[in-house]
Amino acid sequence: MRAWLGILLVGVFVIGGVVAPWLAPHPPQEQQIALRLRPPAFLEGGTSGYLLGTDQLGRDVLSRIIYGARISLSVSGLATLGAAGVGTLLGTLSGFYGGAAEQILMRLVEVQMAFPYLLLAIAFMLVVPPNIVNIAIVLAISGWVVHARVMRVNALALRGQEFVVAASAIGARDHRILLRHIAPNLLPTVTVLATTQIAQFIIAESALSFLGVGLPPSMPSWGNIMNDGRQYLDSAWWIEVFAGLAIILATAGVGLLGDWLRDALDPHLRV
Amino acid sequence: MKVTRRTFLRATGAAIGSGAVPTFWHRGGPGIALLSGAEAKGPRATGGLVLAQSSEFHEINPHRELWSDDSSFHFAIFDSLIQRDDTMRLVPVLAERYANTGPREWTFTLRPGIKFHNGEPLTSETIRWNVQDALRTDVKRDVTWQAFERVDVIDDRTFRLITRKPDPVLPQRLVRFFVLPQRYYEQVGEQGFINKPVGSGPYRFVERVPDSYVKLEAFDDYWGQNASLRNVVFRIVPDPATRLSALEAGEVDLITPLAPDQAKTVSQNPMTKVASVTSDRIAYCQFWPESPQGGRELRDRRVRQAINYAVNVDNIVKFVLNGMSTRIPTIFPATTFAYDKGLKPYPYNPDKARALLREAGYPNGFAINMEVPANFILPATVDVCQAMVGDLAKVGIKVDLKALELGTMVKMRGARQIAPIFFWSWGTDFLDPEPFVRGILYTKSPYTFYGKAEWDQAIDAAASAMNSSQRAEIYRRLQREIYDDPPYIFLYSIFNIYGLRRNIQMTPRTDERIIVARIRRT
Amino acid sequence: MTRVLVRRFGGLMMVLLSVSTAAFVVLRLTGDPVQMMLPPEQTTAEQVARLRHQLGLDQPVWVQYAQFLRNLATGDLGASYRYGTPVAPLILQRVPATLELAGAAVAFAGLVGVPLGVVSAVRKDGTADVLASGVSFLGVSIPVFWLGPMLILFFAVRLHWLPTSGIGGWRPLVLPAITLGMYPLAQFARLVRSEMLDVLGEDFVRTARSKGLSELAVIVRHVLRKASLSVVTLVGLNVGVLLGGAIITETIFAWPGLGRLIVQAISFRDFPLAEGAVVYISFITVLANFAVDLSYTLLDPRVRST
Repeated sequence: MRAWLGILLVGVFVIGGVVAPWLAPHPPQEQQIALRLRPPAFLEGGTSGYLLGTDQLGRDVLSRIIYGARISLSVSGLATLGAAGVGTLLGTLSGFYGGAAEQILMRLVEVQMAFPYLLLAIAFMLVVPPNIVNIAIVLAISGWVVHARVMRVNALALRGQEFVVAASAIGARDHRILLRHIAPNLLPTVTVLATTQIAQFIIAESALSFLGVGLPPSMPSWGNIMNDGRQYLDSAWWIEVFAGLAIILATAGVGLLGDWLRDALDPHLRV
Repeated sequence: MKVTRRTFLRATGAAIGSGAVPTFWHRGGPGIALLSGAEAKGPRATGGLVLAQSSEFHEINPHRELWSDDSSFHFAIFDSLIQRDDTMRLVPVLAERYANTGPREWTFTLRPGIKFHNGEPLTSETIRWNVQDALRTDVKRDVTWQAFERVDVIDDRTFRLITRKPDPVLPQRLVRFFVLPQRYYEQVGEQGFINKPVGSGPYRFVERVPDSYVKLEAFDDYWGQNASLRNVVFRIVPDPATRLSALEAGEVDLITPLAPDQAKTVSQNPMTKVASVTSDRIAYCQFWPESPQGGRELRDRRVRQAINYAVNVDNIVKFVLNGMSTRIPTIFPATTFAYDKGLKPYPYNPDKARALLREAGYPNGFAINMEVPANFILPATVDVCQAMVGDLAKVGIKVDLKALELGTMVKMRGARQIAPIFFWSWGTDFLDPEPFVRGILYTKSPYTFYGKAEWDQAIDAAASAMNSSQRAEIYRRLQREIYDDPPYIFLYSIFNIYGLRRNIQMTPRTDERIIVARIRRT
Repeated sequence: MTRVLVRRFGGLMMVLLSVSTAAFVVLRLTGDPVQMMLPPEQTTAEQVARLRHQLGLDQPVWVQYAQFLRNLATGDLGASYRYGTPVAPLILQRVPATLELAGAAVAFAGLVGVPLGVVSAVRKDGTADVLASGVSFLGVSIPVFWLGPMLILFFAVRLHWLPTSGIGGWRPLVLPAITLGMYPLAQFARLVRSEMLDVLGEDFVRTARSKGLSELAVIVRHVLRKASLSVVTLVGLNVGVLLGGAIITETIFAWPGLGRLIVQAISFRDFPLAEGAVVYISFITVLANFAVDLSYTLLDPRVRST
């Protein structure tokens, strides 16, 4: 049941984001300043054509949330790919080979864990231009550590397993062992870790907007919509509430999916 | 001694008698004292007041650096020689009277019997030391004081302040030159003073928790009119939504700043109300045709005019700013000296804009970058810019808008890497155009991005013009010239907006100051 | 044991050195403090040069870095550009409020999250489990900048039960602690649930039950004790986040904590203050994780430090 709910939620947002140009009733940047801060169409004072109301520049909240799915999910997806890629690679190699590489990696992990992350993010975003790729990079910088830690332990464990030892004994080269024997066994864990992380990144993207170092204001990411809406919590609650609901539903959906994946793929993993 | 009409005339007379004296600022100059001597002290203060402001105090010691955010606190615990009343007239405060007695010389007479909170007397010697302290170079001191040269003490109550150059805006300069107690300061040192400041103002310092609050208590032996409210707390509440909530919950009596859209909520609530007035602070977008990010199209005057025609500023003020701004034709605020009332702001005329663009050789428009500080002192800056971007798109100018952190923008402006169009703001409590034009129109200023040699000459001429009508004439001509060859997108003067509990009486001021001692509870 | 301690100490120093170097480099990329410190419209080139010299910013970067390390080695964090006073007291000033908020948030998370996890494990797939999972799902999904203002609107503006913001006594602490504690609460609940499900099936639990111990006694004495290991680890991992990452909660509730101090230091390009605060937070984080390692030995005698 939970799994289906998760799949449904994630599906709705992913498909919604992909077909946003056809689905959204208005272009997300289209302003009707005279129609600003109109309540949702189904409420008193609402304007038909603006189902979830308008924001402070008279832009359609629904359209922005739909486009927001596209932007926020791309950012968090991209960031997760980066984090999982780098973390898994470094973690697996250091777990597999051990020695100095492992020591260096573990120190790096400790440094990363000790550095107040948000501050690193703020400083980083002050230096680079704010776009989807850079936001994804800054999120990935915080996220790779989780993968590296888990993968190191897993690779360490796999290294001692019979089938790996056996492969090594019959003279298989390292890259072959890594690709053929170790990687497939790590995949479920990576998948589970990554799903949890996507949810965290969706929220982190909006946190960057809150701190004023997020995506450019015209881009309707969920974080930007919420940041706009915060000013209007008591006069035009619909901006904040609907954007917040989108974030909550999307992260919950991803979370449910992640739980299901964990139970199915790797029941011993704790995240 | 009370300052009467007669002393006012004498002060002015002395000034006129002294020959080559700039007289223009005397218009509405030293007038009737806003605080009229010990005989009119009024009842002792009772009750309390809690204010919530957005930013932490930058400087407790006012000699270090002047920040608008700090001034409500400074005006509560310190006094200065001259201040502005609520209508922005300059009035003597610690000074009983003053006069310009030579090109670089001003003579002041202090009120008798003024004491600091610690009982230390305030005399001419105190002022001499204060000027000396303000000119120190081994520690941080505001550049404003660089205009001073020294003080010559005549007697306990009389002294001459000598300026480095003839300084027509000295009285304006002295408004925030707060007088500190010499003996106490020397005894505790600068850090000791910052930990526990002592002044001669209507309130004395009680307690401070950095980034959280400052507590003050009315000073019963104040020389002037007693404050009305006994206990005053300044709270630092950075988040605008929380500030508004605190006002609605009745936790605080006054919040500042209040965004124009929040003003609607506050005025609809029966327990709260809004106070607002046009500020001395203006908003504009600066053009930089030579930006490394592009913008050569802006070299053509017609393109800059077209942009001014294309942007619907009236609509932005009406909707995005909830009507709470005053449109201005150039960058001279309506409150400033020599403001040209005859000049009308650019009308919204997209057809004319398109025609001008066609004439300039851009029938299909062009693409350009624009930057705006994200967390700025002004309300809704990013929204205002997004609205402008929308307007410009309609005439074919495709703007790529970036909202940057303020520090990043300051850095890019300083390093001359900023976008060809960028949003900025300026305010000066001098209420005089000189600092404005000197800062952003004078080509030798590092913050001018479009200017001309003729304009520089006009600015220099006005700065040394001793005759105020002659000076006003130069500024009027300058306004017309920059109107025709716009170095900016001309926008608006903002409002200073405050949210108040219904029973609080407070006069909002053009110069952004909150004078706590004059706030009442009904 | 001594050798382990020495090695840990060496590691700690390495981490601190790297963190402070990273802070030094990253901050210097963000801009020029002199531009921020002088009111630009009235400043002359000589003033800029003089200030730059006073702050030592006219030196080559590597000289500045060497100086920075020398100071750090003697425990001197330098003087704040903005305030002109030593950095250490400015940071220490913020520590009580920061710890108060972090402590209250963890206490809230533990007191609610752990029982929530226990209940949903004991009543697996029952109504309580579904409800508890719902709560923990919301906990990880609700952004703090959404939850905080909502709590303020409801509890402070509508009900007048608690103040919107500020400090002093326990009342202003409640809402920010809930806001900051919601995420760890959800983590605790999920972790305790899965740990308990594992442990409940193990032999020693069955033995305890068969000895006739009450279900409650079994949970408290055996199961929770085991599960507390992971909870402690989680707290250790969260220390840095709770100290330096509470910026948003601190901003919403006007809480004078370290997070806001650092953000302000960054926006003023007050390098010494920002560096000092980063080094301080890393120090506490590393110490906390060290303490977590030590506590393993106390909570579970079978674990020995390696």
